[in-house]
Amino acid sequence: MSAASAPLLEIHDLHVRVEDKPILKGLTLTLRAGEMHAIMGPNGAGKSTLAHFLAGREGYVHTGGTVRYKGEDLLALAPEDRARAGVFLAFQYPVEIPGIGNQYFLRTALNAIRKSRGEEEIDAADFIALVRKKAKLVEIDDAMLKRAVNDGFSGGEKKRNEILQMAVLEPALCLLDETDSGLDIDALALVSKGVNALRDATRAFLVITHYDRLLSHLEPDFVHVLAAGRIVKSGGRELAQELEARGYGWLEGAP
Amino acid sequence: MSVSFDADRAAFRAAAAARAELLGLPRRGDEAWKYTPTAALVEGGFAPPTTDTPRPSAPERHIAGLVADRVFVNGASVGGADGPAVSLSDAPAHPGWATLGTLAAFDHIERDEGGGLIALNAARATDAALVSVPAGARLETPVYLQFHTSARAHLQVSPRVVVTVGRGASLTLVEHHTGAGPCWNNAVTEIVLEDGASLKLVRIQEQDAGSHHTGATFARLGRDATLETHDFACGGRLSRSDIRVRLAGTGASVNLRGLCLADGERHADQHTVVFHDAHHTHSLELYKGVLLDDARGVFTGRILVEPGVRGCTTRQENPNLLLSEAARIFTRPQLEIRNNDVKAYHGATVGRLSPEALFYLRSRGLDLEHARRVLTAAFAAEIVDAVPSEPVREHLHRWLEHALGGTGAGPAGDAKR
Repeated sequence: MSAASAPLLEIHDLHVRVEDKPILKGLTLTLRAGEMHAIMGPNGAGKSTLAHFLAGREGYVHTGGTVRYKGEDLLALAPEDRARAGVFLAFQYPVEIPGIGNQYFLRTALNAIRKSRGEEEIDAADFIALVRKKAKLVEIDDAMLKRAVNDGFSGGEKKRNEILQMAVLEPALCLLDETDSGLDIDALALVSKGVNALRDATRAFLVITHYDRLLSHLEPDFVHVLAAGRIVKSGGRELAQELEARGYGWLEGAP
Repeated sequence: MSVSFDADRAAFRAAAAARAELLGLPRRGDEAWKYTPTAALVEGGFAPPTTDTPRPSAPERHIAGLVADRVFVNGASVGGADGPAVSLSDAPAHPGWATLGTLAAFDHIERDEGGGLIALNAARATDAALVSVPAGARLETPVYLQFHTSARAHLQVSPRVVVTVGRGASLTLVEHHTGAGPCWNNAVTEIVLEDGASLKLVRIQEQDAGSHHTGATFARLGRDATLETHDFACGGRLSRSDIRVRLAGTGASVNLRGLCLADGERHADQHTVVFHDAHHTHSLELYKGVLLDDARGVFTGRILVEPGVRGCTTRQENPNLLLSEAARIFTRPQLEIRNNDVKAYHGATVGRLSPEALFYLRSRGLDLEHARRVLTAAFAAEIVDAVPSEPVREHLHRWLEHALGGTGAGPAGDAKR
C-alpha cells in the first residue's frame, strides 16, 4: 500500500553524539505515510536518543547525515515547530506539571498548533466534545482531565495520557518511546487500542520497544534492530518474535 | 466614656508619635531589614494626607464579583456597603472604640519588634477598619476591604485594620491594597482570635510599580483557634509584608501561604514570625517567590518554640523561581527551637524552570516563551488556587496572566471555567 507514497521521514546516515560519546553511527531509515515501524535493540543502542533527537531535544550533537520530514530539513526546526509540523513524541517518562490542568494543557497545545497553521482557536464547547471523545478511547475520565498534567498519575495513567495528547493533536509522525514500559497487561491493551485507532493512510509510526508483547497488539509493518548506533537488521513482524526468543547476540554488529 | 476616649486617643497618638520619633524608620543595620532598601522611604519626602488631599472616589483594580464592605481612599473611608468600618475620630459613638484596648494589647509587640513603622501608623492612622465577629457567628461571604492611594505628591497613608473574631466564630477577610503614583502605604493589621475562632485572611498588595508598601500583620490566637493567611506581593517598587503570629492558646494552629512575583527593578520582602507559646500548637508555611529581570526578593521565616512547650509541629517551605540571570532571592529560614518535643521541617530552594518540562511543552507545540509563561504560572498557581474565594482566585489569575505577559496557565480545574 505504501510503496507508491512519498517518504514522510527519511533518515540518511545519521550520526549523533551525546557530549563526546557517539551514539548514532550512520543510521538510515525511511518511513512512509501509513506505515508502522518498530525499533528494537539492546540497552544503550541509541533507541531513545533517536526518538528525542527527532523531537528536537537539546543536549545532542548532530555530527553527520540528514533527516528530511515531508521533504524538508527537520533538524533546522525548533522543537515547537516540529510539533506544529506534525511530529509527536510520546515520552517514556512523561513530565509531571503540577498547577496546570490536563484539559487546559491539551487546549493550549491544540491552539498553539492551530494558530501556527493560521487556523482559529477551537471553540470551547467543540473542544470539550472532542477531548471527551478521544479520552474515552483510552478510558480517561473527566476527573483525570481536571487533574494537573501527569501530577501523581500512575505509570499507566501517564502513558494513556500521552496517547490522549497524540489523539487530540493528530500528528502525522508519531514517535513512541518505550510506551509499553511499566504497563500491566490491561494498560498495555488500552494503550495499544488507542494507538491502533490512530492508524490511517496519512500517518506513520516509529515504535521503540524492548518487548514483543506490545508489537503483538500493534502488528507493525516493519521491525528493525538498532545496535551500536545503526540499523543492523530489518524484517517483518516475525523478526520481533525471533528476537524475543533468541536475544540480540546472534546479530552481526550487535555488541 | 467619650471623655475617656478622647483622652485615651490623644494619649495613644502622642505616645505613638513619640515612639515613632524615638525608633525612627528601619535601617539596613537592623537584622530584620538587612536586605530592604529603606532609603526610598527615608529620603522620599513622604507626608501624611491633609484636609486638602484629593480623594477620588472610584479606585481601580477592584476585585470583580466581590462587594467592598469598605473602601478607603488616601486614608479616608469613602464608603462601601454598610460595613464594619469605624473612623477613630468618631469612635466614642461606636462600640468599636474598644479597639483602643486591642491596640494596647499589641503594645508590647510594637515596642519590642515593630519598630518605628508601627508607631508611625498608630500616630497617623485616621480612619480604621474594625471588623468584629461576635462569638459563634459564621460569616459566609468574605469581608472585603480596599485601601487605595492615589497621589501626585509624595503621600504617605496609614491603613489600619483591627479584627476580632469571637469564641467559635469564623470569618474570611480580604485586605486589598492598591495605589497609583509616588505614594507609600504603611499598613498595620491587628488580629485577635478568641478560643476556637477561625480566620482566613487574604492580603493582596497590588500597588503600581512606582509606589511603596510596608505592611505589618499581628495575630494572637487563643485556644484551638485557626488562622490561614494568603499573602500576595503583586506590585510596588518597594514592597514589604511582615506577618507575626502568636500561638498563645493550646492547640492553636496557623497556615501561612504567600506568593511574591517581582519584575523590573522591584524589591519584595515577605517576613513571617511564628511564636509557639503554648502546647500542641502547629504551624505550616508555604511561600513561593518568582523573580524576573533585576528584581530582588527576600523571605524570612522565623519560628520560635519556647522551652517547656510540648507537642508542637512546624513545617516551612520556600521554593523560589529565578527567571533571569540578574534576579536575586534571599531566603532565610530561622528556627529557634528551645526544646526536644517538636517536629520541625524546613526547606528552601532556589531554582530555574526545568529543561525537561520546557522541552515537554515545546514538543507539544508551545513556543519557548509560551512554555516559560505556562510553567511559571503553574508554579504560582499552587498558592493562588488555595485562596478561599472564587472571585479573588479569578482576580489573581488575571493578574498573573497579565504579569507574565500574555496567556498564562489556567487553574488546575480549568474545565469548570
